[in-house]
Parts: sequence; C-alpha cells; structure tokens
Amino acid sequence: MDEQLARARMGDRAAFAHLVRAHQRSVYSLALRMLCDQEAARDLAQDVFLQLHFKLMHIESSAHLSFWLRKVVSHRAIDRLREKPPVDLATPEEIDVLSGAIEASGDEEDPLFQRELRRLIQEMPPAPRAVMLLRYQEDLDPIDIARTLDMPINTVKSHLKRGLATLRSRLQAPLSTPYGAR
Amino acid sequence: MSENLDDKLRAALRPVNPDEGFANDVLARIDANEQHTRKKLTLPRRRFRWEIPVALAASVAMTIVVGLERRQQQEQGLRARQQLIEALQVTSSKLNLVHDIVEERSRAEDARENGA
Repeated sequence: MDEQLARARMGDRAAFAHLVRAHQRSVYSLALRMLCDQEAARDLAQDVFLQLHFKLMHIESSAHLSFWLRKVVSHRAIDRLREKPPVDLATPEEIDVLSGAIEASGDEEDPLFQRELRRLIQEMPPAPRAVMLLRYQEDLDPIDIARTLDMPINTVKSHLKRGLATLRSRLQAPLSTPYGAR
Repeated sequence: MSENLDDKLRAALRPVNPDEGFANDVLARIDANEQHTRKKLTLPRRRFRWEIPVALAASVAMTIVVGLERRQQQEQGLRARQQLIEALQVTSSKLNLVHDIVEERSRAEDARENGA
C-alpha cells in the first residue's frame, strides 16, 4: 500500500485508482450511514477522493491515508447534516437494498435485528452517530475516534456510553423513549 | 449482553461497497477538473481595461491646459503691468514737459518785469 501511495504521489493514475478501490468501501459506508441518502453519500465519497487527489503530497503513509480519509468524510458528513438536515431519510430497508448490504452480509444471523440496529444508529444526532460508526464500522478505539473527530476523549466515551445505553433500551422496548431522552 | 451487542453492532455495520463504476467516476471527475483548470490557464487574459490609461491621459491633459491658461493669464497680467508702466512713463514725461514750459514762461515773465 505504501508503494501504491508513493507512486500515486508521483502522478501514477493507476496507483491512485488502486488507492480509491482499496478505501472506497470504508469511505462510502461512512458517508452512507451518516447521510442516509445513497446519492448524497456517493457524491460526498467522490468529493473526498477528489480532495485526496490534490492533497496526496501531504499524505505520509498508509496509516495516515486511512486516518485522513475517515477524518475528512466524517467532518464533511457532520457539517452537511448540520447545514441541511435530511427531510426524507431513506429507511434502513432502502439503504440495505441500495447499498447491497444484504448481499454483502449474506451470512447475517439476524438480518431484521441488524437492520433495526442500523435504523437506531440512523436516528442518532450527527456527532454521536459518527462516534458509533467509527467504533463499530471502522473498529477504532476511543483515542483514535477523538483524534479523527477532533473531539475530547471524554466526549467520545460519553457518546459511546449513551449510545449503547440507548440502543439497549430501545431494543428492549422499541416503542419507548427516543434517543437521548431519559 | 455488552459483548453480544458490540458483536451485533460490528456485524450490522460492516462496510458496504459502492456501485461498480465508483472508482472510474472518481477518475473521470479528476480528469474533468484538470481539463477545467487547463482551460482557465489558457484563456485570454482579461480584457484590457482602457478606462485607466484614458483617465490618466485626461488628467494629464487637464493639467497641461490649466497650466497653459495660468501662464497665459500671467503673461496678460505682465503685459498689462508693462502697459501701465509705459503709460505712467508717458504721462510723467508729459508732465515734465508741461512743467518745463511753465517754468520757462515764468522765468520769461520775471525777466520782463525786472527789465521794465
């Protein structure tokens, strides 16, 4: 990967395409689960890679590249949600079908339960949602989440704690309190 | 339950692929962006703005005209002064002549009176 990065930095188009393909899944998924809109997610993900093309000289390593991509897509998705909250959210079913999630996770043990989890994540405000996605989709630890989102570590931990508590509560009583209510 | 929920969340949030043409579309956008940038660099420069040099030329012309007028006025003033001086000199010389005549007549009368 570092070799591909080095070649991409020197203008090797094929190497850059390789980097896109290597990271598109992560970037697109983050965008999709943040924006809950396939077209907007695709557009945002492409913008992020377009921005990467101009910033390649600043990327020092493969690890830095992963960090940079997660950081940019998360921040831009949060900004976009704050500027223009989505009116018609795609339902988890629509997102699953459009994103091929059903195909990708063909070995789901409990697809309905997992779909419900995705729906509950989708209902969270932008910042806690980003924290949950970086934790459970990208498998980052709280320190890395804090660096990625420029957020205090205690805030990250608080979002994780409250997010999980809300999920447990909602899963046990789906018709009860909305996210964040006590 | 906690670990179970964590595992369930990881399974539910496994990344998904975009459509097949995603990477190619990214490259196409990069190409389009580069073409757009190249076009901007080769476009003719902005239309030369004639207003500034015309304004400068007008300003210079005004300065010259005003200067010439002032000079003309000064010269006129000088000529008027000169004419006045000349007029005064003529008047003065005429007065002197009159004075001389009067003096001469006065001396002639004195001489007749003294001789009578």
